[in-house]
Amino acid sequence: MKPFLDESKPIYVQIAEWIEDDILKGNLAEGEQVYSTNQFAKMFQINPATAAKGINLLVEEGILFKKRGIGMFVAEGAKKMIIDKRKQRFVQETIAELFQEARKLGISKEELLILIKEHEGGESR
Amino acid sequence: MTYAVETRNLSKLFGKTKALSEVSIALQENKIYGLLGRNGAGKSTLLKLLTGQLFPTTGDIKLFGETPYENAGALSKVCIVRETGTFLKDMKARDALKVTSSYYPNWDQGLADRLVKAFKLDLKKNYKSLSLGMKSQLGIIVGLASRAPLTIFDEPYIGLDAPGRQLFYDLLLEEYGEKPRTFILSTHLIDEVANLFEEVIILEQGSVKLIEETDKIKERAFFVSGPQGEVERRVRGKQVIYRDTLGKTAVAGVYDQLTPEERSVLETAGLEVSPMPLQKLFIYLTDERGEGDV
Amino acid sequence: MSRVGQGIKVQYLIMKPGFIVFWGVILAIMAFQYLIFFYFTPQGTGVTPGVKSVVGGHLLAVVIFMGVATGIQCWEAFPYYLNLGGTRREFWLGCTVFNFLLSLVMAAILVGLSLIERAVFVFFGLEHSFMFRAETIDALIVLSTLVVNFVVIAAVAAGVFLLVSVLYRFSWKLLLVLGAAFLSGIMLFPAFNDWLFKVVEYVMLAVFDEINQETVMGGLAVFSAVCYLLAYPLLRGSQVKN
Repeated sequence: MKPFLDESKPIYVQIAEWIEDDILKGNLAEGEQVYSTNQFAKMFQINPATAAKGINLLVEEGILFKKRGIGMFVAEGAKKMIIDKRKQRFVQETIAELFQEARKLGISKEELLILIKEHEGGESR
Repeated sequence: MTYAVETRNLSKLFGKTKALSEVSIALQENKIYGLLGRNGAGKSTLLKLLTGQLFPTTGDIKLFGETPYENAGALSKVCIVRETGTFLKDMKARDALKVTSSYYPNWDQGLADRLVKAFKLDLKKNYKSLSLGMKSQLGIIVGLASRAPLTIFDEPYIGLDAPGRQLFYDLLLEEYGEKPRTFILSTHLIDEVANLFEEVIILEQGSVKLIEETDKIKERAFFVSGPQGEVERRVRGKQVIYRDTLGKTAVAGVYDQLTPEERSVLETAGLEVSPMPLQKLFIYLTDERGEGDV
Repeated sequence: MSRVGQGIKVQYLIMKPGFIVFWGVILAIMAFQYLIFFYFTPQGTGVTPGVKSVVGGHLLAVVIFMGVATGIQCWEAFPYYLNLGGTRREFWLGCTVFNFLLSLVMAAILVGLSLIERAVFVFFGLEHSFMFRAETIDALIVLSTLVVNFVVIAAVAAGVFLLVSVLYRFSWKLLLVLGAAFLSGIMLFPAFNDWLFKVVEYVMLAVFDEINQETVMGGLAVFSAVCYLLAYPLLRGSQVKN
């Protein structure tokens, strides 16, 4: 298995996220063509069908679109869509997890908020 | 729909030993299949039956819709590379390639030449004097360059070291991308190749234990861990294929459908849900100590 | 090339090393024998008592070689051939044609060597070989010798091929049973023993003499044909050994 993949999530989800990350980072501009399933397959050493599944996931969400006979392209407004989606997920999952972990450690909500603020402060300094 | 391989109630007895019993599988064209099973599970028997080298005791086999027995047309669509028996020990590597090439109508000599160069294979040597790794490489060259609509690798990379195997996986994917066809890979090195398989067939003691898409398997196979009582209560009604406890913490290996709702129920109950690697699933399913019945 | 043609090529490639080694050894032995023959003979005569030919005696070596080589060849080639995707019919056809050709080549080499030997013996004015005893030889004699050699060699190959087919079809156990039956036949029935001895004697006489040559050669040819005909259904019903 190639380095970037792990067992924590289905491979096709990781492929979709990898493309999303590339769009967020600006490596893939809107309107630009996305790598082919075979390129993905080779790069990640995975079955092309799995790569296709990841790409299709993004097509369904409207982040990518298909040009018949040519390939997959990044849709207009893809970046915003991804940001919105991830924000939502951030709230639903990451913050939820944060609270869950805090509960395990006996950190109160107020304490947690202070910790977050301090952390933020630490970062902007 | 024509399948690349279709078997119905295929059984094989050697004397009184049942090597294969009631195997019914249908493999679609242009997919990569993983054939997994412990030693003696019947993998090689199945593959030899598919290629007409053995006769079924009962049941029947279709290759691309045709019976393989004495059928040159159907057999020329199949290339099988085995650990032993694919080459004759006293034949020069060059002759071995030449002979083999003449049996496959789609043989790509250009590809064979490129691979020989990439592997730095010395074709002047006799097969028996090649190193283990080179023997594997020769098999890989034959399998890939055959361009046979059904290409079977029966543990062909046994002699390859880790980088050699990585190269094989890359070449396989490249070839598959270029000329999609049906591949069957039988292997022990499940973790390494799991992501290459579109579908997986697990054999145990001559029967098909599982045949399923890899993605689906991965979605269905997971561990639940947490306080013992809680784990037991929450996984009730699910297929549990593995159990272990450490102090008050229990781990249950589950092979079953888990809806996102069920998953969040488990998580809010303080249980941890983590994916199960295919290798682990394979071990649990084929463990003689039982438990793993699907 | 047709698939049967490829099958013959497979046989050829398997046989090649053994073939070369065999003739290499035979030629080396011959060279050694000639060396002794001409060098260490009683002074002046150039004749070792009893030795009149070197080549003729090698028919037995060729026969043994064909037996062993054909056996190993067919035994190894069958699973290899099936693994390649060949059919049993093609294998049978390939073996039949190849054995035929190889027997012909072996016989031809033997006759060729014999002719050379004769020329040498005649040149030195020596009493010579028993493969060509006639004072004058013509094309007909050479041809008939070739045919005799060929038929004998081919019959051995055919017999061994049938044996291998039986082995693949029925495993070693049956062969043991057949062997035991054969041996007990020889021991328990003197008539069978006599008959067998006569057959061998007849063949030997026909090869090295001219007694009843046609009948015996015809018999051997029929024997070969029967071997191949019997081998066909056996191979069609054979699978690789696990």
